[in-house]
Amino acid sequence: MGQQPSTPKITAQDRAIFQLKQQRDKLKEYQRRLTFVIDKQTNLARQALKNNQPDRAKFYLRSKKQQESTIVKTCEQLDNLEGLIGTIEFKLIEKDVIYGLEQGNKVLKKLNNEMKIEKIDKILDDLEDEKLKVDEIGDALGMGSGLSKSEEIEVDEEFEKLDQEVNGIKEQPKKDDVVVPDLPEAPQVGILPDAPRQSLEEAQKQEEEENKDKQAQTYEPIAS
Amino acid sequence: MNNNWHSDAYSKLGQSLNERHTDQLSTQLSVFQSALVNFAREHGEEIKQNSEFRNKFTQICQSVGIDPLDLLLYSGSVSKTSKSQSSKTQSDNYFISLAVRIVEVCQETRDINGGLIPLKELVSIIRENSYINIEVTESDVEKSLSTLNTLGKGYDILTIHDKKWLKFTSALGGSISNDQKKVYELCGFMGGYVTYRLLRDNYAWDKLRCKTVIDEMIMNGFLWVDSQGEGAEWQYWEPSWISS
Amino acid sequence: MTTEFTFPKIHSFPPLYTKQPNATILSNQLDSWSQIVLQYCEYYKITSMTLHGTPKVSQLDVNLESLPSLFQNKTINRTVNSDLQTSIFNHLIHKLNKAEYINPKKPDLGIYIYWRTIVEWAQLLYDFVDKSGQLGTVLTLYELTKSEDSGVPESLRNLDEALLIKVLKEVLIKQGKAQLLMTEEGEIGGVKIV
Repeated sequence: MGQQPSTPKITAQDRAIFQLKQQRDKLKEYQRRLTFVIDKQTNLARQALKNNQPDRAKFYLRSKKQQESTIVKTCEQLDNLEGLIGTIEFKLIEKDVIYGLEQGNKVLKKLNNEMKIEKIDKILDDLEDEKLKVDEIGDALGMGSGLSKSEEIEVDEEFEKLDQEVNGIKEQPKKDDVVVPDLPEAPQVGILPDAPRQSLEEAQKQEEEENKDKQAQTYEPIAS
Repeated sequence: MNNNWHSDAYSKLGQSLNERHTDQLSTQLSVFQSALVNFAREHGEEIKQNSEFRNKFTQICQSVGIDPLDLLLYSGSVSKTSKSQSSKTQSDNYFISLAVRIVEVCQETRDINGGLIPLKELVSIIRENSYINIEVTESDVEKSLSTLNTLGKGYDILTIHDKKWLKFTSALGGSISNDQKKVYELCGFMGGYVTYRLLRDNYAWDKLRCKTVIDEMIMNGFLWVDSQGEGAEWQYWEPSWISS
Repeated sequence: MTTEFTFPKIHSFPPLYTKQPNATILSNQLDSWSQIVLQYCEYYKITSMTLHGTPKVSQLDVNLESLPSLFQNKTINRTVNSDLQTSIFNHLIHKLNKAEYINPKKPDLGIYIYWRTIVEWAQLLYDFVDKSGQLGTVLTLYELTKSEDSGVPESLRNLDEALLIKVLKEVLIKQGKAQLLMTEEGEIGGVKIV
């Protein structure tokens, strides 16, 4: 806004159109002149008839006819010129449209290029690699905490116990409550991935022990 | 190109908004103005008596573009004919405000007429200039001039050739001489102008006397010179011809 | 144009034709004359005059010699002499900015009378080109003024080419909205308005 734009540029097409339009203007002016002459000649012919000079009148009418045919010719030429100007102007617009289409096409191609399957595959691969790296680092950091493998197992066991203690109590009322499924609790039992580290036998033993404990707990109140 | 188009569209929008705004405001203003006029008519007495009220009222008038003088004139003109005691002050006020208007017009037109104005023209100018329709008559003007003259200023009514004129002497720094009056008289008789010969034939003035009077009147703007009169005789025209 | 221009009443005031000796009155007189000149020219669409107040170019297709004369009042047998004419035009040019010498170096060529200022002319022209969707196309001066079928509005039709060029040069080109095109003979023949 504010700032003045620089003077408009005159292109080669502008010049071409300008020349054609000049030709057209000249023709139009010529036509005007001829029309004027024709009017004059009609009057002269009328005058000649009045003065009883039929030959003279005919002469005027003849030359008038000639002028008229010239006008028709110039009209045709004008037609041609106007047609040419129109075509050029239309071509210019077409050119603009084609240019617009071209630009649009380029952008589309570029966008499509960016969407190629190989590229997407590669990106996914890269993503996987990065993820692995993250895991590696995570592992490295995990080892860095200084616990041996057996220690880790012990931690896991303790965790399991605590978990049973906490969740085990919670589980009991749920058994009565049929309507509420215990699915939402599932994620809290985060020990599953660790399971393979524990041998199956051990796990069974543990379970048996726990069951005994439970039985003991439940009997106690009756005994007392 | 695109930018231009946008800024054009914005400026067009702005324009139309402005126009609408102006329209609304001017309607509101004119409504308010006419309300003020009504108010002045109904409460004219209170406005005049209560000075605080009057001040406030004048402020409002000025802020909406009504000359309080107009309102004073208007409310006064209603009661100027009534004879009751209460409207005595009102009609006094009317003539005083009219006097103010007369002085204004005299000063505005001084450049053109040199301080001499036909009473008829004066009245029509006063009527045209005021926002509200006020009935002012020539006799009103004469009455209010008497108020003015008690202040010692020289506004005089002259009757020249059956036509009443108001002479605004402070513009001249003197008074209109008898000779000048006679020139105007002859102008009225001749359809607007005098010549040396006419003055000589009618009043038997010698050339020197004609020249003194006329030169002075040209200086004061009372007369316009016309050098293309018949027989190369110079004519001296009085300018009220244009507006008559 | 069947009806003649009606001059204001002051045009029949005999002393108006004599230069007034009183300075205040004179300035009033020149104002009155300027108004008359502008109204007269607007009525007959006269865009330029000679220094003697004779119409030079008009947009109307009338015989300029048949127009009632400006500085002469035959009914009251009065004429404005050339001294007063000069004063009137000087007043129009320098005091009111409503007229301009066609060529300041050759004052005898006459003056443009601006009952419409060149900025207003430029606006009219621009509006026409804009509304007719011809911004950015090349237009010949001929089609902007003379041509019957180019849709030029009445107000622009037959506008003096010299004035048109002045309007283009002094307003639209300065605003960066126009560029001129030359003919092969080196004359200004067309314009591109954006």
